[in-house]
Amino acid sequence: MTEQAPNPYASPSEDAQRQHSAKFMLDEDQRKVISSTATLMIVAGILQILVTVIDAVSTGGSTTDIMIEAALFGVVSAFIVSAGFSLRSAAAQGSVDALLSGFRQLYVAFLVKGVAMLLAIGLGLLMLLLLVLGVGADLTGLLD
Amino acid sequence: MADLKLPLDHDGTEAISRLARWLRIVGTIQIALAGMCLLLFSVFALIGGAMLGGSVGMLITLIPIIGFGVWLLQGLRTQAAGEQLKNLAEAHDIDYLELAFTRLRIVFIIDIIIAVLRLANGSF
Repeated sequence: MTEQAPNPYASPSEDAQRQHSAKFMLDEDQRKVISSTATLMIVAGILQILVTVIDAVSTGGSTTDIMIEAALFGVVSAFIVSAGFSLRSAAAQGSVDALLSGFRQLYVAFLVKGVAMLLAIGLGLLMLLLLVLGVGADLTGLLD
Repeated sequence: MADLKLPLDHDGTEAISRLARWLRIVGTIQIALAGMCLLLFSVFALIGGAMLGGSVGMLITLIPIIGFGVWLLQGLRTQAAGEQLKNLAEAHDIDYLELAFTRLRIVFIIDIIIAVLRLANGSF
């Protein structure tokens, strides 16, 4: 009688399911803190989306400007709202899966925000450098 | 109170570590920017307040200082939340989860205030 080899595809998913269906225990105060913070995330995200939409409509800037603003503020805010809902669910059910889902969405939001801030700083420094070089070139021209 | 642990596998720990890293990065950048702006505006406030004179002049110059001060606070809380999540990823202790969310609460309260002010500003 031949023995069937264990299905290598079944084991990881079973392990993962067992791990991610795991629960964690919170006391009442901890549950309130997490739940209230998640609610604040939802409110903050929705308000930011509203501000972005109103800005885009009222200023009537170029399509590029609107797209950049929507990408930065809209995307970040959307992920924050989504994270808020996941984390509220995690606090209510004590679900590790929901908690990690919320954290992943929050990670995307802060990643986009962080990259945007770094790009803005980089562009600012580049403009400063060009300004200095421009001033330097003018001075060189005067000396010749 | 018994130390409650968060049952995390390697993927879960990595997810929390990544979030912690970017919270610290964003917080640090915000602290640096807000700190510089606060310094600059404090200098302008001293000059501007002297030029404008009186309590009205001082109030006008104080508004951006308060604004940048709040932005600095948000940066500090964001960085602190990142530190607590880093501790959570290492120790899996649920107390760090509560501490992280307590710091994040301030971050999002400030976001709400900023959004409400922007809405109010837009409506005038």
